[in-house]
Amino acid sequence: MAHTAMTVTMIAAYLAVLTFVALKARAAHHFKEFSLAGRSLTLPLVFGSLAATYVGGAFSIGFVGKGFDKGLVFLFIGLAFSLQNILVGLFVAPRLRALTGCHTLGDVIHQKYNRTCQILAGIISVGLCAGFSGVMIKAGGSLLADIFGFPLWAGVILVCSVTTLYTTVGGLRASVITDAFQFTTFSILLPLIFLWLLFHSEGGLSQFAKATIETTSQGWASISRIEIMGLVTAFLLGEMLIPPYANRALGSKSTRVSRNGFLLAGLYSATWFMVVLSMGVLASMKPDVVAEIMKLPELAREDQVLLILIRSTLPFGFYALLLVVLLSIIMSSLDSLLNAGAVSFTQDIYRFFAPPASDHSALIQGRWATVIIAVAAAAGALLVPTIIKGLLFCYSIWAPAVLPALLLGLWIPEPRPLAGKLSMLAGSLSGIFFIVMLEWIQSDIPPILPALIIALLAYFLGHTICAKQSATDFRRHSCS
Amino acid sequence: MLLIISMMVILASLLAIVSGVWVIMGLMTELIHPSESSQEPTSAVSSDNPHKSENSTELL
Repeated sequence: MAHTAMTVTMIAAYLAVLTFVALKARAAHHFKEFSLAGRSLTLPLVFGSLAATYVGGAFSIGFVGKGFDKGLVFLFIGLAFSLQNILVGLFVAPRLRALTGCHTLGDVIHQKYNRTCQILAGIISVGLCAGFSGVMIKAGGSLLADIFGFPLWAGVILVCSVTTLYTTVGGLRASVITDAFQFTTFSILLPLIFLWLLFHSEGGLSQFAKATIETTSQGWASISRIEIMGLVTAFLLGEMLIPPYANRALGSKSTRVSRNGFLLAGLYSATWFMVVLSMGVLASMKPDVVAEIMKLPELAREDQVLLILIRSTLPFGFYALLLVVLLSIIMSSLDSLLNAGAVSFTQDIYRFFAPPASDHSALIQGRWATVIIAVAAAAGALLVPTIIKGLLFCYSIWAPAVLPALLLGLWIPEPRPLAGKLSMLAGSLSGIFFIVMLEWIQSDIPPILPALIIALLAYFLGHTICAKQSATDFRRHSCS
Repeated sequence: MLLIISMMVILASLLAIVSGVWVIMGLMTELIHPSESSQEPTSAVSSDNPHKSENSTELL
């Protein structure tokens, strides 16, 4: 009873501080503030917000489980994600920020191709943000349901309503500022808990280092080459430039802030992976923790390692603190996704069918879109089978559907609308097809790979057709 | 090898903590002295594309 009261008090205090920070962020009064935070985001905010967005359930709870199971193997695989952020920072983010008149990736695609391509990109972006949001709401709802002992739907409603409230009122600025606060919470507390555990473990540092070498060697032996290739591809491309990241690149104060924000976020991810994976190794050194984990069904083990480690080795106050950390990790990803989806819906889809009469009406539409996406995602959250499955589904569609058209559009001197359209359609359809087919035949091949190849082929087919038509004196716009 | 792993883990934890402190300092600065919005034209209501793709990365 006393434990529950302590947990409830800590979580209520945390939510109260978060609400205070969100209120200090001010309400958005213009659509430009709602969608791009007035293009005024400074480096600490861009960096903190990017890191808070990508550190979700998978890069925290999931990675501690991976560390328990496979040592530091996922540090080397996760470096593909760090590399992705660094490459985006060096070559893409400043290029995006330099574009004027863009609120979304759909706007970028409109500038490079045409309106139909923007609507397609908008539909994919909104679908992806709603899908990711559903996965995050499920994770947050399950956590609250476990703590307070109420049903999943009640946890889902609680997480969803608090996050939707400040995202709807404050837009991107509120999302980024609360992200920075949440980043600080988990980036300080989790490593402190880890260091405390490390220096209080039996055998100390040398025993920990030996356990790391041992579990990592066993981890490498237990994973096939095709699995490694699939994971590296998913980490490298799966989350590249998803709408919330692109919004932060577009909303940065300058091209330099945009570039450095992604570079720092990439470097930070490597240090974060090291900390969370090491926590997993530490758990594998404690016989009572291992015994408790081994009692669980195999599929549920990975997600429980962190909770069991803290609950069974530290005083209850730390456990309550950890729940606050996990809630901040989940909510910081959720608010970014809701805002990005709402902006994309308003800017890439809705305005072509019912153009807003003024900036104010665009802002109102954006707010309504946030609420509608949150409600749809909350309903979907109750249907998500597992968190990891939900995430992999979204990754496998995003990369083939949007990346070839977006990246080639930024680099090719005269991108052709037909190429963009074909690539987006073929990429999204083949992504869904390969997810279903490869799971059905139980293949280890990651769906993202064949779907990406098809999207690229479709792009070059469209480009070649248009180039040939141009050569026979067709005007460029006739090929759209 | 054992020493390298131990040092890497401690360094990573400290770097993460320092990053958290740096971001909270940036956040406090932002809340006390909010940075001003950029004056670039970014209209939500215009439906026509005012930019040509060839010129859109000129600022780089």
